[in-house]
Amino acid sequence: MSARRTTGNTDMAEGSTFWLELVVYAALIIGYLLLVLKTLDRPLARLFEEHRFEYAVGALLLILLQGVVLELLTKVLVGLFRKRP
Amino acid sequence: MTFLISHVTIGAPWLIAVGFVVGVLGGFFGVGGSFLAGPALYALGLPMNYVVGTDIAHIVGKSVVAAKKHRALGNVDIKLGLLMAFGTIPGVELGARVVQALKRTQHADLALGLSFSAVLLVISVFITWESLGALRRARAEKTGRIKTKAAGNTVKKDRLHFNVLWKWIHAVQIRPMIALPVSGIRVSFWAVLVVSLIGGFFSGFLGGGAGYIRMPMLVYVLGVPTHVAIGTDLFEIILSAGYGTFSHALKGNVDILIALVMHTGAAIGAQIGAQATERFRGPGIRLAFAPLPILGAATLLYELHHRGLL
Repeated sequence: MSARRTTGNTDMAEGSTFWLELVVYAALIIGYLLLVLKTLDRPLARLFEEHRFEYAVGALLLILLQGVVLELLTKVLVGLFRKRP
Repeated sequence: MTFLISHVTIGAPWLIAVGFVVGVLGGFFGVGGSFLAGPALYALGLPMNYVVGTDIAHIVGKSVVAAKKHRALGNVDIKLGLLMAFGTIPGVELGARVVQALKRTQHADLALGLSFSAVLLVISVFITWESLGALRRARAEKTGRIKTKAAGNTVKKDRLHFNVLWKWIHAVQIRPMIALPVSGIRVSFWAVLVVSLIGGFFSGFLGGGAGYIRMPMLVYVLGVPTHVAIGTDLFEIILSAGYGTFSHALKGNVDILIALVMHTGAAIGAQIGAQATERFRGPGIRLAFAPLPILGAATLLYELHHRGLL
């Protein structure tokens, strides 16, 4: 009986940590996204029209970089939340 | 908001939502999710040539995350993935050139939409048939109506109903023969080349990573276990989609800002999807995947009809 209650409490704690992680992650991502859209939309559009090769290289680097950065961000956040008592 | 590269107005939350859904599915099924992302982008108003190029770009970032997860789970056959690059990259370029040719004829939307729908329908029907057969076989083995061989190796094996093709491919000994210990198979390099060339072509032609065709081919044509096929396909998608992004961006088919917005949603979804694969067996994963391409095809056909192209 008490073992079941302990498992239930652990599940609830893990669930709330997951949602907290998700909220912090989503907030950071939306902030990042607004920054990217605000700063990069015109320069990228100009590059697309005038320097297609540089645009292609930049596009590939941007999406790769975003993939790696978001993965690192996730790792850091998961590490931080898992350390909580 | 209006995206200045493609001159299309789409709400960023829609793009994030599409990215999230395809992220979960991609991480779980080992496919880039273009079977849903492509039709969804088209339904949101993006012209078909941008759908192909932008979808392929968003998949690069997502696959980096998902492939890393699968590698940690021991599901990536790096040797197979690198060998496949010899067919994948020429295939992508060929597909991208066909898109360019269609763009010049002004029939790109109809031709790409119909091709995409046809491919999705065929895949869905085949996977349903095969997975149901494999699950029936699994039940028969459990009840003792079919005897199974004693397990003796450490490679993850799964049940396949349609296993004639890969058995035949393995029997054809055309040199050079390649041993792939992670997948637990020995196969001709030429078979790997053909599979990767076809996967690459569909990636360049219809967008995304073409995991919807490469993953089934790895399983049914090369005989790679489903879990390894999922991880290796994701690794291959990084190569094919990376090259595809560059090639399509050069040809003016990539709106990278749309791809970046979509990818933020996909990054979260991929985390959830990759973890979920550990809880399901091969035939179960394949059967769950089966209706999704039909959903994509239905969206595309509806949108073509809605725009008066069909």
